[in-house]
Amino acid sequence: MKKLCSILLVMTLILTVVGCGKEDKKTSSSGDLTVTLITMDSMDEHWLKVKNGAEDAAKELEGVKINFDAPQTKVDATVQAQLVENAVTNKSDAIMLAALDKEALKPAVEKAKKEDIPVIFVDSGVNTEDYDAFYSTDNGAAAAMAADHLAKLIGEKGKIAIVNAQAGAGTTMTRENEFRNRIESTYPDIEIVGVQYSDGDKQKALNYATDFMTQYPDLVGFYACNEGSTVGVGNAVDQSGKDDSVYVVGFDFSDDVKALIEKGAIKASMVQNPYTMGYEGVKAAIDIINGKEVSPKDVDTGVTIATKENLDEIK
Amino acid sequence: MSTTENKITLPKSIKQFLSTLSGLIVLLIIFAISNKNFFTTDNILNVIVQTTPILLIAIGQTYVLITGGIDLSIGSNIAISGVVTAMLMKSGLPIFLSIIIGLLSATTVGVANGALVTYGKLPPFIVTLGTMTAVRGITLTLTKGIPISGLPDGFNAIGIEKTFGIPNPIYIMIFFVIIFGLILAKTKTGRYTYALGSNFEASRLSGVNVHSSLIKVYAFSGLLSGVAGLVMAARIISAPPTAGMGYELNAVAASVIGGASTLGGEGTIAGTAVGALIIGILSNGLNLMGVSPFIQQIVTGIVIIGAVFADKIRHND
Repeated sequence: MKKLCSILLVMTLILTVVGCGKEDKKTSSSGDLTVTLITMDSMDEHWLKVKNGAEDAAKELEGVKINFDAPQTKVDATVQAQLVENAVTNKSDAIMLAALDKEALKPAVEKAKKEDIPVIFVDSGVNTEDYDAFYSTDNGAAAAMAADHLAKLIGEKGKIAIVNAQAGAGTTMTRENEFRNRIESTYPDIEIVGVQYSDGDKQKALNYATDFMTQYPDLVGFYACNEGSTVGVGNAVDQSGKDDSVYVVGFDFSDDVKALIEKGAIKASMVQNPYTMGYEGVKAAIDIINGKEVSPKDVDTGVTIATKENLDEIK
Repeated sequence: MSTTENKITLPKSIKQFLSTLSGLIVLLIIFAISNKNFFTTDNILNVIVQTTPILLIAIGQTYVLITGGIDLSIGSNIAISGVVTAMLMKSGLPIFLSIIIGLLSATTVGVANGALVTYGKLPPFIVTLGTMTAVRGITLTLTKGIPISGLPDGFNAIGIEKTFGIPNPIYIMIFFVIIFGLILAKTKTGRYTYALGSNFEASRLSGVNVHSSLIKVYAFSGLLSGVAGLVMAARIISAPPTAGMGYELNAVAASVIGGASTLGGEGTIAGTAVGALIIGILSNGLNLMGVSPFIQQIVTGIVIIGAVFADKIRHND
């Protein structure tokens, strides 16, 4: 009995805390179209930009409401699938999804399509043909661009090293492999001396980059595959005073990346356009609801190469 | 180094320390022979700086392990001290004051851990698993998931600048090794720490204040994680809310390689310091040899088990 009481007490406490933290979801006024946007998490800057793009498109269109949702913790495909199912239950007019897992989200997406709800993928899709539009970065093409850019900086010759995030994670492995392919096929005088995996931890990326420079005093360039790796590598080059002899080309954008580009420690970073994904995704959703075909179905939203020259234009 | 007056541990701990040290020396010799860039002043200083965060948190973890507990909240504490300090500095508070409050936030988590373990009679593994998760949530909430960047130069000096040619983190590390090495080896607090791990009930009956002693130990671990968090933030000029994820287990590895036991009652700060250096030098040396990162993980795993296994064989002698 005592145990039961204490359990009840703890539950009440938890619910109170949760209750305080939750904002009331406004139910849409009649006549509005609801587009549910489900991303991988609700904190990463990347997803917040997708959300901003979606909200701006909704403002322009009038009579459209964005419902934003995401798993509370990273990489939880099960929770994400539940969110998609909730959107189906709530009769959302369209669903925009950045899928955490190509397979795990398949049943939920198929369920939505069975109910005739348009499904638009942003950033990452699902292994199915049954969707209406897909707005994403062609990471392979972006990585090849990064290879060309770095090759130009170092005069198409010399030793370079790669610092990647997670070994085995789809997106960043594509960025590593396509970069490698481009270098090997096009620039015979450039040697990739090694690759290290930082898990996106800036501290580890800093250590690995420093070790690479110790091992190869004649190293002329670094390629970093995500925000954390880019910042770590940029700091390593900056702290060894090699801004002018070791060229860094990275991936993604943040205040840290921006500061290092301003300093000259990072020469360029490949910036995706998440805002465009969100904006175009909502426009496509409304077109489909109104019975228009979206063509082509798959759109590469492209990357912008951020350098010292165009820093002010990067969103 | 740490010659303890402690009757329970004197001969054994010295033997233990010497074997850990010989492991380190063997590693140094192997890497010095195999790579001409390894034994340069720059690289050696660089390895010590790279190892500093792990070494600091391993000191705290060693205290906790000696009492028979474990602190899983170390990684989250690294993040909270960095994030709190960074946010306060950005809001215009003086650097020194921001640092004090940042360290206090991490220490408070440690005090909460200790209090829950000792007054709540809860297993340390569960308590610190809970605080690890909750504190990570706090750092993400405070920052909305976005790293706090653009820290003032005066703060970054902690991580980047050199004094008399030696990088500043090394001074910080040496200071804490000496302080906490002395506390453990030479003071009542240290003796109680060993006593709690050797025989908790006997300590309680013989008048040791077990509550305050345990809280102190977890508070030490919180404080040292906080210091590590500041050094890390100053090195990358940014305080990410995700900093330090998984570092608590590196701290366990450094401690057990240095001779601490996860069963409690054993461990020295000097041993832990050498254990942390072994991990750091292993990683740096293998990097310089160009060994694949995947193979490196295999090697590190084998070293952890090997060190403890060697210890066990000596025990049975």
